[in-house]
Amino acid sequence: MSTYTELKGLKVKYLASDPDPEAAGDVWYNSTTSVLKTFVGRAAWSAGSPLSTARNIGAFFGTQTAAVSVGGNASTFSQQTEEYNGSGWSVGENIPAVRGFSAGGGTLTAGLIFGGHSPNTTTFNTTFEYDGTDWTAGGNINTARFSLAGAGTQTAGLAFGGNPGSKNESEEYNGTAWTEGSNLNDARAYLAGLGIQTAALAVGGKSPAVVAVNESYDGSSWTEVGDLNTARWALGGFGTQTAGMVSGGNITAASALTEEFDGSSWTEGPDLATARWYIGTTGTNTAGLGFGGSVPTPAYSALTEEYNKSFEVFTAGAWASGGNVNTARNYLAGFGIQTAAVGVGGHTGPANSAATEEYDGSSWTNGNNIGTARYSLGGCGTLTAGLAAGGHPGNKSNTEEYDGTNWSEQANDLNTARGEVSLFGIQTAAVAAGGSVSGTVQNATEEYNGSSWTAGENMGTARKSLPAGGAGTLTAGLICGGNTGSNSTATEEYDGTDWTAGGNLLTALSGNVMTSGGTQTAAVQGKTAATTEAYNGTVWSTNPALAAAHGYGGGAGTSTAGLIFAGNPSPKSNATEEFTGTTSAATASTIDFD
Amino acid sequence: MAIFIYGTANNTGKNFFTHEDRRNFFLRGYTGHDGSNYIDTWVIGANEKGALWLADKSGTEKTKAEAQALVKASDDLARTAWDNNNVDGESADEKVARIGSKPGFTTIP
Repeated sequence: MSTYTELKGLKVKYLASDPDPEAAGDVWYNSTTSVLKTFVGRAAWSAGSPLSTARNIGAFFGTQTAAVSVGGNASTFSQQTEEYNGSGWSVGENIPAVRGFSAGGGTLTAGLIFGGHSPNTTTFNTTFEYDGTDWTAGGNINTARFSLAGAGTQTAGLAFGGNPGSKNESEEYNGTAWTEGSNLNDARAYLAGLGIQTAALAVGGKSPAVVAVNESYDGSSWTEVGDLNTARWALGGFGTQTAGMVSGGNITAASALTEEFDGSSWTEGPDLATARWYIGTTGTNTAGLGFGGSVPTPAYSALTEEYNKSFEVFTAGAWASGGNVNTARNYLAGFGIQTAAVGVGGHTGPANSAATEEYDGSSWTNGNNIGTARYSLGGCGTLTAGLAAGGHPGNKSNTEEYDGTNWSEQANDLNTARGEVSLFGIQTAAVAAGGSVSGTVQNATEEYNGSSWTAGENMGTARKSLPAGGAGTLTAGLICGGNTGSNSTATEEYDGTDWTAGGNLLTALSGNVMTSGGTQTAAVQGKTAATTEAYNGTVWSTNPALAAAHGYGGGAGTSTAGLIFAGNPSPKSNATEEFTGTTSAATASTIDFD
Repeated sequence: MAIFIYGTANNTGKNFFTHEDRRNFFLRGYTGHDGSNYIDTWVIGANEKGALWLADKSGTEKTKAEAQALVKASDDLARTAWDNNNVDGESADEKVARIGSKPGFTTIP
């Protein structure tokens, strides 16, 4: 029998504990548990944050962490561009005209889409190029078509197949113009395309029969290679010619099947969590992305799934239920961290509340009341060094500090008495911004140094309904949403001196709740049971959804360990939800000789 | 095949639904009212884990129409409360500024 040393030319490492992973296939002997171990790559789809707009028949390109979804049908044909950053989707510039059934290629900063169909009977031959910011017109394809497939890059693209009439034409793009290439052997539409201009695959489709045909392109001609195991149409393709992937599609119904190609044959991979056709796909056979598409009911999907083949196990971010607050209420203030948070004040329906509750990561316990019962107050700081100021009814200016046991009324109140105000920062370096005075929106900013408030620069946009709409510090603060007369998407960033505009929310909101321990470059906010949003310092993107609505509730914690609790206009909620961001962990496998 | 299961179950707080639950099936909570009490009403992804979750929480399965009726009853109460929340001499705009817009109706998926 050969030894490991003879086979590999190496000795197996003898270690007391599992090492930090370097690569899949690393082998060692764990002397503590007396087992031979290795890092084995495992493939799996896991949930990602949904598209901001559910859609099918869109075009797509990019990578798992820099993907683009363009156009498609979102109950009406769309011009919208969405960009995925590995965590969530944000909105990019619209394409010049609505279209669906287009194909795409390239990267987020050098991408293109071509062909497609309008809501009426127009079939397009146009190409649009994307630089990550703007869309510009490119050269027209020679054969106008839709439901075609694409591969390659912005300067070396490939278009093939499509409708009407199940086309076999193949064209190559050089960044300026399309030229005819060799035709597909099997004319078809609704096929998947993947790879590059000189090494592409055309997989599956309809002609009009549903086919399992797979053709390989070498830059000159198409050659039939190993067929799919399961024939289907409107499937997604990603990866390369020798490490190709297809997923989803329609057999006679929505499919969740994934298959991987090694250059000669297909093997079954893990299924999508949600079967669908017209799915958008990008990435590689180790880091792919599937999004949107058609599901039976409702017709348009926003669901995103990430495909990873790694010895690291990826766990998607999600909201889970926490302990219920003792006093159901809304318009309260929240601050602290997920395992040491405070909820204070608010409105119970019949009465203004002075109640204070403390959260330990499992349950809420009643603390001592705040001195002045009120709602729509602002709060910030920590469980043992908290701050509350302002509130309604009657435009409060009261400032109170919390030491983890008692609230103490401060001698120096807000200069502008107001409610619906946002506070962020810490007890000795806090900011109060915006709010309302007898219903009139405010843009006033005040800074607190632990003893008194002084005026800062006014916000650019006066707004109210911000009881939990702020995060960060005095020198790196963040405000988003609120009500300016109508619900707002506006975000502003504070540097201790000036307010500047940040990226707009995807959805205009007031009464939104921020995990108030977030930062100017890593914040999470939400309101309804729909998607929450995450901020990276530049753009807001979609984030996992709350299970229930918490508008006008309290927020605490960070963008990866957040807390949203209570809220709702009527009836008042007592529910708490805890957010845990996406995590990954290397997982070693035991080598079993049985 | 049904996409969702509908049911009622009291949100008991911590671990009523876990991070793993949220990754395993769709879950949305709404406030319903059964004529006597508010009742937590859930829309749950129709897979095995979703169905088991409702059973494990001692939930009561409802039809979509029944679940929608519970949510509408809660919405009706909120709208009535809004209608009855008035201050003498207050204009419509002032009322909205004071207590927000009149709640709408929720349509469950």
